[in-house]
Amino acid sequence: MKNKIENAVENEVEKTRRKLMFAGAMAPVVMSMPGRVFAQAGGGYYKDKVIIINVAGGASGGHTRFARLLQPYLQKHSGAREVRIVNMPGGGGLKAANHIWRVKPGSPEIFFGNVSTLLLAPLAGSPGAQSLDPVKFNYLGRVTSEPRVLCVGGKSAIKTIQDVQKLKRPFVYPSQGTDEDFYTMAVLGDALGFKVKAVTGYEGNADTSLAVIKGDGDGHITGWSESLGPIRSGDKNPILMVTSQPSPDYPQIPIATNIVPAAKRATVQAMATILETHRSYIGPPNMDPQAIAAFRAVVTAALSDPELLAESKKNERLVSPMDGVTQQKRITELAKSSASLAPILVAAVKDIQ
Amino acid sequence: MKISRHAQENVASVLLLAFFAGVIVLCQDFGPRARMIPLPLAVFGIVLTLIQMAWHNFGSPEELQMDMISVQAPTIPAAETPAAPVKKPSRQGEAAAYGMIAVLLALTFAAGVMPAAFLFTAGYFMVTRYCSWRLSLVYAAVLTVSLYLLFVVALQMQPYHGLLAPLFQ
Amino acid sequence: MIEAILAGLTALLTPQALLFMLIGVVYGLVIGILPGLGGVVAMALLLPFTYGFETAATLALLLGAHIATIWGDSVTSILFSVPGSAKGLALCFDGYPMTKKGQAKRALAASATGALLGGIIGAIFLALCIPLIRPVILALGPSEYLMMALWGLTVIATFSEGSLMKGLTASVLGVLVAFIGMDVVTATPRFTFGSEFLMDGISFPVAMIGLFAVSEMMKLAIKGTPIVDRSLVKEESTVWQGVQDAFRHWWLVARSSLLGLWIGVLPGVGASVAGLAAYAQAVQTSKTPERFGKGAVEGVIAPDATMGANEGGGLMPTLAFGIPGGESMAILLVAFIGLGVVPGPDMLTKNLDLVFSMVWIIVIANIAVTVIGLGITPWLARLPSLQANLMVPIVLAVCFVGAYATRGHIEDVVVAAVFGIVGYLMDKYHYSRANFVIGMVLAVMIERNLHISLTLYGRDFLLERPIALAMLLFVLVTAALPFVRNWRRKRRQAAGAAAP
Repeated sequence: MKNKIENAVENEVEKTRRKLMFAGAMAPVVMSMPGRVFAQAGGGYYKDKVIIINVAGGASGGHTRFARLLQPYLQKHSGAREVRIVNMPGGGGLKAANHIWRVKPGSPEIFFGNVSTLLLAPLAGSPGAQSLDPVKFNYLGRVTSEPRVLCVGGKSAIKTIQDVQKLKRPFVYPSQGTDEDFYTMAVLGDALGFKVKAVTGYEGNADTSLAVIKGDGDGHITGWSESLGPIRSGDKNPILMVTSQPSPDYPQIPIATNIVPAAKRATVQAMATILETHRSYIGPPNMDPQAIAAFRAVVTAALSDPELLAESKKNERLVSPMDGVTQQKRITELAKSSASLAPILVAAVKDIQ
Repeated sequence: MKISRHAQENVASVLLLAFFAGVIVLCQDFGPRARMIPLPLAVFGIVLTLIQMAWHNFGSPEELQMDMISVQAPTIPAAETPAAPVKKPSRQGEAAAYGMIAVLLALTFAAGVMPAAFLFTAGYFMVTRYCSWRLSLVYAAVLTVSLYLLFVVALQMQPYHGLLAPLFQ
Repeated sequence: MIEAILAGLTALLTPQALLFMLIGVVYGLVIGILPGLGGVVAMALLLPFTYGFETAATLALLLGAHIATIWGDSVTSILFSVPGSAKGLALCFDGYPMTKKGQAKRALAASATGALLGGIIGAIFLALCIPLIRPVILALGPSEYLMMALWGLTVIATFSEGSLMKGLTASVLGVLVAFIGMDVVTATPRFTFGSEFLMDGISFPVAMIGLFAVSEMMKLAIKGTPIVDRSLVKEESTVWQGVQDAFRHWWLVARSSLLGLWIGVLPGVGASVAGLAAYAQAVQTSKTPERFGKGAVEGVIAPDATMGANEGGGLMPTLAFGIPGGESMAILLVAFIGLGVVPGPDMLTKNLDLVFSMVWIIVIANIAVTVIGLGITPWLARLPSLQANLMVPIVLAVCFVGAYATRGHIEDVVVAAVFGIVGYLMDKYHYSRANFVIGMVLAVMIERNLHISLTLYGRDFLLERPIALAMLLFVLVTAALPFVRNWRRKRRQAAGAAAP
């Protein structure tokens, strides 16, 4: 086994060495004829241009990881001179969203972040989101969508979602603040008929995870990959998924839309669909139609590149693409159907004030 | 018009009182949890400033200089720092220092972060006659190129280009 | 266990791993010295270069860079009172006064040796404490973090130069400034005046650049003389003196290292709080607390030893639970995934050799940093004696670029300038700048953990959390200790005077 790993590592090092040598030898050639090495998607609209990707979040965040994974492939398929990643943390993604909302026409800037923030923050009346109209943004393609999962502590007396419904006290939910998971919990509580006591102020996912493992809180919602380690080790126990497809590895975990009363199904479905919009490229409202078409084509080409798919699998950063046109249509429909969420979200925010 | 140090201290205290009062007014718009700490703290700030003012104006100089360290331990041993001739900052000197910050800020907004670094350092060397104008330009250029290589090339910072940038495009 | 320790070391002794560590260390030193940029930036930028290399080499590069930023941060704090990032704050308190007294070499060497010893002691205790890590992480929570922050707050007394009232006022101001921005606990924007920029609050590194660096440069420009005027103050200290200092205060180093290790183990506390807590501990246990803030070498050694040990501790929640204890650890976690390493409880049992590889990286990287650091100290120590007319424009230009680079917001440059002027005025009227930043660092931690404790356990949360109660008593005792000691000393003196 060990030899196998060593061989694999050696092969990998050798490959990287070869890649580096090849890159070194080819650099002058490539630099002298930029964009001619690969057939470009989007009709060469971005050829020799600079594309700036404003990532909603810090250098260590999940969005940045995906943005950096995609960066070389976007460059390869667009023929751009440079694809530059700029971190724009703040306001849970609203800072970057507001920035892209206001960029001048013709700007090379694209937002990369969570679409659900753009949909949920205005619904909840968040300060900083009032001026945003999610329908007016140009959606350029989804990179990934991770199922969200409600986990309880491994040693908790709560073993199933039915146990939560039977609780004689509120379900204690540690949260860092009013993020999409906070809103999802509020919607679940409303749909499944249990009370939620949100404990806000935790430092981040690490902090809320520990609170759940320790038993300070009953449970919390995270992205599937973030909880996978503690689930495998038994520190956390998944009891509900907010998604439209069951997990292939854990088919026994119920899906929220299947267990809520019929009257509440539409609301939970709207929430699940919003969450599935997840990590995407988004263009400003005034983006040139040619640029929109070109970037959508580039994203689609990059996301079907076999090299990228292999790299994403190796690094456990799985992609689940959705093309920009479908996404735009989906979000226009969502904006209409999600109005029923507004009172629940507003009430949840009021509760913590 | 010369304002005495005593009066300056009082002006500082009044400004602080206004600041804390402003905080109290703004806190009225927050919910009970959001103001749970800032509101009492601002009140505490007002109390502290009033006591300070009272001591300053009516107390003895010893009380004014009451130092926590002197409460904690016996008198401080003679100053360890070699006695340097203490030069009181002149009003012109202070005005020049404020002006220096304002100029750098204005340059940054007008010309962008990197050109401002060049213009400011070169200008400073020339105005203070630290070196000849040629050397000033060389020093400033070396600094700016180093900053550019470190921050923009190595650390991938996207530089701010300044309000005047559109004129040169 | 011994097998794992040796296996961990052997994995590191490859040319690739050693070369990568050296690259990481040099790179980390440069990043650390630049204002506004800390270890997180260093690691994030290295991440794309790590794919496809040996596990040990990748970790050596990332951890080496991270470790080196600690001393890099300390250098500018000591020489110019410009903290490279929030971690370097505590080094300004005594490091800069030492430079002004002509003891820059001693301070830099004490700081590097302190960090080295802290790193090594931290690593040794980490190895010994592995079985205790999970229970401790599980036993402590928000109420205990609250007490730790309160302990950091007790340092305020030390810096209330001139007037206790002014010292306290400065901390209140700092706390209130920290509340600017979106309050995540209640989703309320506070003191933002509708500004989108202020929603994210005042960046702590930017505020420090203003309060310390910009204001010091203003003072220098007015004075027209260097930070250290060699015609008045000779550099009499030596590197060797600083090294000896760190060894002479071995008990302080040991205490500080243990403190740093455990603060590192607790996710959500942070290295800047660790530095302050170490400083508080050094002041409170000193027989001559009055020397602190005026250039006491212990005030340099303690925070550096704590931060050196902190890094090893920070690895633990990441390894034991797969939960990154901070931003830099989140980046390390990404590298783990890329390397096929699965963090979790198994790490501390089945993959112990990898854990020890990391412990060794911390030790070796610390040694490399110290060797390089001590080597360049004589040159670094000359910088404060450069003429004011050369120093002022260069430092100001670097600070403004650094302030902008922190978050890429041009408004941050305005913040640095405004805080520079505020810092100058505070210094002029003896409102302690140190107290201001201490208030600023600890405010949010205190507020958040108080809210969480109240919501989880109710008003009587201290009765529900006996460890927190014990910690509160400890805080009260250590805060009162200097007063009691002074009172007894005075009584003794009075008795002595009364005796014939």
